[in-house]
Amino acid sequence: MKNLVKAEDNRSFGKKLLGFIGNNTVPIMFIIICIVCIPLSGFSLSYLANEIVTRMGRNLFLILCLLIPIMAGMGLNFGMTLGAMAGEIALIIVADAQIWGIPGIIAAMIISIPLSILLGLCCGKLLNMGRGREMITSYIISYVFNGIYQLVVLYMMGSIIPIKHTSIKLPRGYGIRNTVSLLNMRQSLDNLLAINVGGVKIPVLTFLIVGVLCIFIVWFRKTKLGQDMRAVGQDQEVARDAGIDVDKTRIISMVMSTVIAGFGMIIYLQNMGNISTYSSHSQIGMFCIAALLVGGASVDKANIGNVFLGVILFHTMFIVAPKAGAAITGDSMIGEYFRVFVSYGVITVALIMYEAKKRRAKAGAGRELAAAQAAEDGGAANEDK
Amino acid sequence: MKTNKKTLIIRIAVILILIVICAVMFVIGRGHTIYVDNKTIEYNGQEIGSKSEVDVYFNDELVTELYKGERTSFKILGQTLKFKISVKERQNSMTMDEYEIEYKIPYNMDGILFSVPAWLNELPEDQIMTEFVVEEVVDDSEIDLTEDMDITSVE
Repeated sequence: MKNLVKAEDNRSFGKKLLGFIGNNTVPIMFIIICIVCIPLSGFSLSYLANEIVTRMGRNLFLILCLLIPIMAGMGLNFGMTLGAMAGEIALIIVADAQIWGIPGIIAAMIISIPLSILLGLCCGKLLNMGRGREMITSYIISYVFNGIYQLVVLYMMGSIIPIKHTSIKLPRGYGIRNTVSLLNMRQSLDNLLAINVGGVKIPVLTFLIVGVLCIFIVWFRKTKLGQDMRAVGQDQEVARDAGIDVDKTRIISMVMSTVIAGFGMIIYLQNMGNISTYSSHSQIGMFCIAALLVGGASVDKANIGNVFLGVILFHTMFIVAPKAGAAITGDSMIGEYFRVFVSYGVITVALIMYEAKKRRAKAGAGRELAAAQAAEDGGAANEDK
Repeated sequence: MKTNKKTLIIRIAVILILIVICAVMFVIGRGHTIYVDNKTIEYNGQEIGSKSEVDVYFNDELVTELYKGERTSFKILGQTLKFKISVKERQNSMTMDEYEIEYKIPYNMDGILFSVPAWLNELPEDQIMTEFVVEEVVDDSEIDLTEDMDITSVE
């Protein structure tokens, strides 16, 4: 009896282990990659720690904006690029007005809010029309709005929208330059309460702001609107029958995500110290989603822990891959291509795994239903006899 | 109806608060570059000579020591210019006279040129502070915007 119980325990431990590995394949894969590449790269631990902490401060806010649409069942929000664009436009306005430092960052965040709300509303309405295909729809929406953004920034700014400073305008008199300097705002948020621990600079204020957002997300989940979003995320029909305005709830989730993305982009760019006007926002969605997936999130489930783990693993790989590639092959470009391949690859793997899991669950539910049906029919037949 | 009215009032109040905060940030965050000159100037046909040495202090820190014909700069936030100077009249003099300077800066000026000789000689304000416009170097290479999307960089 004891042996039977022990065997069952071992099997259940084995099953549990397999289940854990199955659910966390991507983070485990990245941990292995990092363990292999870190010694090969030759970077010291303090350098790595410094780089990772800097990148965490830069990217965490952006990645946290992805949690709300996932909660509302809208999958991975590639439309966060729209929020990034709103943040960039706000920063251009603030840079032209010569508002520096922390006041400039706050002013940019406030200016980005109406832009983000407008873009979020558009995106939300379009995603409601593309129900069931939210991810690909938001991916294409980001390209469409990129075109509109370039029209505004390349032709309307300086001609219709007044831009005073020639250091921001193109020489032809309208349009914004490829790079807008944020030197007078650079790292003003990061440096304000920065502390140095063992040679690692920790931007305390930035992390405090990220902490406030995390607390907001945890609190929001418990509010009525947050519960409505979770209900909509689980089953739209049931939520509708329960009296929840599903379309409105989905739009609100997109608006919230876009506004947070706008703030996140401003924090990102103040750390960088300049805006690459036409390319800063273009890859931000892809890499933030890749980082979230690396942290163990899926298309329908993500939490704050996934965000933190994902940023650490994803950006560690980004730091060490070029040098590790150079050490292995003698060509650092191999490392560059490797990390791009892995970024896109991890999204592909996560999407395939999500789809496979969904089909397995559907097939399993079908089998259970068939078994229950068969048991009922068998019981009814016995009764007739 | 009461709840709708209350919600509307709260929303309008939030919007107004945000607008006020933004306006305040635009005032307190307005950056100016102050150029402090120790150069000889001409006023009404007369030459106002520069001083042997002018030490410029901003936020109680020494910005630089200006000798004859030199210029320095520092950046400030907000509309009030407040800094100190220590002036040595002649090269072999041991004494330095200290002065505190405070001025309201026009909002629309990015760069302001402050002439120490003009201030010491109590000239009109338009001689003491003038707008300093940095000459822009036109870079025609900035026209081409068809750069490839850089897919390998992520920060």
